[in-house]
Amino acid sequence: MRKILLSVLPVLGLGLAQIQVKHELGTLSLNAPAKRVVVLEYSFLDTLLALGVTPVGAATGTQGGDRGLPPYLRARAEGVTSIGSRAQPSLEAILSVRPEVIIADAFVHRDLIPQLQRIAPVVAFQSRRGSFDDLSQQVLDIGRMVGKEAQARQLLEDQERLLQKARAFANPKAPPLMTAVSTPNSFTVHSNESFIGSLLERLGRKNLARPQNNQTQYELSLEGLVALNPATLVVFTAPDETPIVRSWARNPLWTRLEAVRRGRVFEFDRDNWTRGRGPLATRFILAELINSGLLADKPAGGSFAFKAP
Amino acid sequence: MTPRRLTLDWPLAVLLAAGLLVFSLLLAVSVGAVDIPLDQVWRLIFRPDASNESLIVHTLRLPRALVALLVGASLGVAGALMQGLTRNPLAEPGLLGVNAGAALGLLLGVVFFPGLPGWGMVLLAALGGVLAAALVYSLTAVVGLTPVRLALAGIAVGAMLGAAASFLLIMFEERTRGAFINLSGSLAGRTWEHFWLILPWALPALLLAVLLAQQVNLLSLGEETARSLGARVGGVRLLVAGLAVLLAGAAVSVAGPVGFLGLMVPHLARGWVGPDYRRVLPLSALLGASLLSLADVAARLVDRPLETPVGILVVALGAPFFVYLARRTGQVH
Repeated sequence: MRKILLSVLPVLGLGLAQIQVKHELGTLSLNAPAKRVVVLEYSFLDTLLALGVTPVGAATGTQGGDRGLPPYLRARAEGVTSIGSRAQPSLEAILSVRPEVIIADAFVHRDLIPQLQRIAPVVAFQSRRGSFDDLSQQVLDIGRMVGKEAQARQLLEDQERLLQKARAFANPKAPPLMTAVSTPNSFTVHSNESFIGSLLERLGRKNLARPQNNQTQYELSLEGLVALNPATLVVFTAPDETPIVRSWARNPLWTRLEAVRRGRVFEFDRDNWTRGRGPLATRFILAELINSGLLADKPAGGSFAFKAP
Repeated sequence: MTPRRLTLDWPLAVLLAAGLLVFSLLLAVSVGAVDIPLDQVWRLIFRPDASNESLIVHTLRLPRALVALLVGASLGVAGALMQGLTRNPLAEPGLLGVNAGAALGLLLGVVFFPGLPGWGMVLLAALGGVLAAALVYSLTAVVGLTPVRLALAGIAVGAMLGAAASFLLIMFEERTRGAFINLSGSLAGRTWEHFWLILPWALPALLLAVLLAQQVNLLSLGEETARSLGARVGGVRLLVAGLAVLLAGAAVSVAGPVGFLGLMVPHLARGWVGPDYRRVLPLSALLGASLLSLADVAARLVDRPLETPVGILVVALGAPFFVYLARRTGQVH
């Protein structure tokens, strides 16, 4: 009798696991919503805060050259315990906040996941390399994990309404654009399958860049930019850096670019636009998108115009 | 005695090397994201027009190709000078720690004296190279100067200085990020600015090195013989060492440390024309320039559209060559 009971118990236990979340490493089963969550990417932090949940720890540090919290998220994430940076999360700090679940990036934290799994179950999503649809699905998955599925659905519905509104501003006849992050040493194109690229395509602006060698983001030289010659160029930079694209603008080739000739070179904060990638970031991006005239294919003006050297 | 090796006629060798140089320059100017046919490249180099292709050739590809030639020539000649000076077949700016010292000097300048002009950076790089070479030399002198020991001490000091450079890169990330230096050596994005920075140092030093070739010949015979033949050994030695380090420093200040080129090139040159430095030095300049230029073309093609740092490619070629050379040198003893 006891034997039978023992063999049935695990089955019962499995049946009791009410929450099942599929992710890049398999399926996470939880009996009850997770209360203590540690997140290793800004998009997961953004998502949790949007759902009204404060994680017990988040990778908001600046170790290893990370730039820390994006400005739009700073006020809302005040008081969240830092467990190191995204590049160098501290296992000790994670252990000390006793998480029930750790949410990691399937690409960035690939090598770290076995160690994280010894602390708590790990859920891995494509955040850095994910598209807008991937990240929206993650809002739902994370919502279910923390017992806020209804709120997550509401968030996505609100987001969809906002997208529809923004879409009305888009000029359907606008030529394809190109989006890129520029640091002091690099110019990295974000293709149509990146987060920002796919979001803009959703809003009706085609992206000139396709993934190359399965990379949704890749570096380009000035010559490569001239070869692709986009009619609209969107660069993401940081106000405290001198991006390499600023020195490119001194080359006579720069003025030959269609986007420069048409006055359609836009510049936005790279921390806010490409590093948040959650529902809060999306709201911020949509507001700036509409204000800048980018969707309508108007000339870049004011603070959103590229600052020539 | 080693058997006499087959060498090329001097005029033929010069002709071949010069041809290789022109070919590599043309190739470097014609390969890129935009396809420009070779015949058009020729025309555009000498008769620029208002087209995008012309601008690409003149503002992006030509300066980068010329920087590659100068850096390659400098490293090739620096290696030959060091090999003659130390009578050590394994000597070269990379293996003697000079490149690493120069890179560290450069980074220290960027971090602590950010207002320094370009020529100041070149001098700082040369100074870093001198100190590194002195350290390697004195470390080895204690235990006895043999070629392999010198190379080992050089590698150890180079690794130590490289670690210090990495430390600076990490600790002062904000300041070093704009420094345009890649610790594996790279020519990506080099402009006329870099060309004019290295030219006034590299060109006179290269010419002077070729003029001093006979003195290097004497030095390479050993101190006793050189003195008995009437050479002022101390002064010449200092001058040759100074030239070698200046050439390496100039190269590092625009391209970062590119190892093993200075090792391979002089051996290649000797294989072509024999041991006479009057021939080895000019040929090292030509071959070094061509090889680095070709490697830079390959670096652009390996992982298109991404760029592989050219230094990594040169190391991939040079490291096996070093092992081969070290084994051969070891067997002589």
